[in-house]
Amino acid sequence: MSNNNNNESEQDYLNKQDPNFNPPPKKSPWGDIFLGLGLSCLLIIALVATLYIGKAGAVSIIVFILILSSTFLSVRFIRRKRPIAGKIILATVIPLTLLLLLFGACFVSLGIL
Amino acid sequence: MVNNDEWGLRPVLFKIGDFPIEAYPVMLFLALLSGIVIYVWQLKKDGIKNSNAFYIALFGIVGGTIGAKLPLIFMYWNELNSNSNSLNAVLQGRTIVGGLIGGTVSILIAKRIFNIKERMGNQLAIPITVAMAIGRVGCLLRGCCYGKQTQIVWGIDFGDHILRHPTQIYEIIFDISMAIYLSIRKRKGVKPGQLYSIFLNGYLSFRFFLEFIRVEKVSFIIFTDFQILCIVGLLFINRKYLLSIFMRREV
Repeated sequence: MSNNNNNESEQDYLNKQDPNFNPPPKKSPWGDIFLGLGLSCLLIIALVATLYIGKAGAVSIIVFILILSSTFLSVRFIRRKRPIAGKIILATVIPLTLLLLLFGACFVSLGIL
Repeated sequence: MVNNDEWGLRPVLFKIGDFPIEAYPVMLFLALLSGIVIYVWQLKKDGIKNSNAFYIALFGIVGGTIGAKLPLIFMYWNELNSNSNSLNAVLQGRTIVGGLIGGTVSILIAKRIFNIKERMGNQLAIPITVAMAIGRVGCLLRGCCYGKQTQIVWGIDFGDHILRHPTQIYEIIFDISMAIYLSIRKRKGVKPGQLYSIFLNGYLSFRFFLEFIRVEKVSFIIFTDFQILCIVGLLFINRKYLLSIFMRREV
């Protein structure tokens, strides 16, 4: 049994060494980068747009949904086929969450909001 | 009426020029930082080098932050939507009970969606306890989350010349004792995720009783909103155990 496995892996190695064996073309990362940047911008625009609703309760709930869904989306991207896009979205979501939700009180006490 | 600057033990730690460095956000930042550092240290100590540990912590922080705000929004829904400048209330208020429930639910959903099998409860429990203790120091300095009027010698005057139960200190003592107990249990050996369950059961039960001496609005019979939240949390954590008892009786 183990001998069989050894033979198969050897065969795989030889196949890869074969000059006729074509590895899949390397994907350019720019598509992922633009996707990540685009979705991050969309998230920020959506967050700013919700502020114009005027009702604080409704604004907060929409902000929570946006932040939570973009976190899930970013992890889905990282774990599947677009890790760069996922990391860019995550790099936008984490500071936004911390600034808006955890340290939002600082803006109030400093008179910024 | 007490001025905001005179309220609390030390609401502003120090000033850089005219710029005040407030105690509460500083303590909140330290709590978050120490929580993350202890979590990473625990992972290294236990030899866990899995990216899923990062995702669990991420969903814990994001879900916990949202969960900490959500109950307050529903509690003050009418006030929030009637006042045009009420976004301040959303930014300032938060509750740790909601944060714990929100973080737990968020991690459970993420584990199901992304098919994560690892259980990080044993690594998460101690960092959360330490972070909560540091966060409560912020509450004590700012003068929020205080208790009812009392005559006991350790009562604290937060600025209105009334001695009150220092419920923040009670909670700090509970958190420190819980952290020590959890580390002893961890050394002795526990099942995966068991420490988090012990911590949540312990904290929510403690908080339920602490609410009786805290200044909070009673919303149902003799219970405050946070006590109802504690009961919901306790039912949710022990759902499997309760269901198993119920099923046994049915048979």
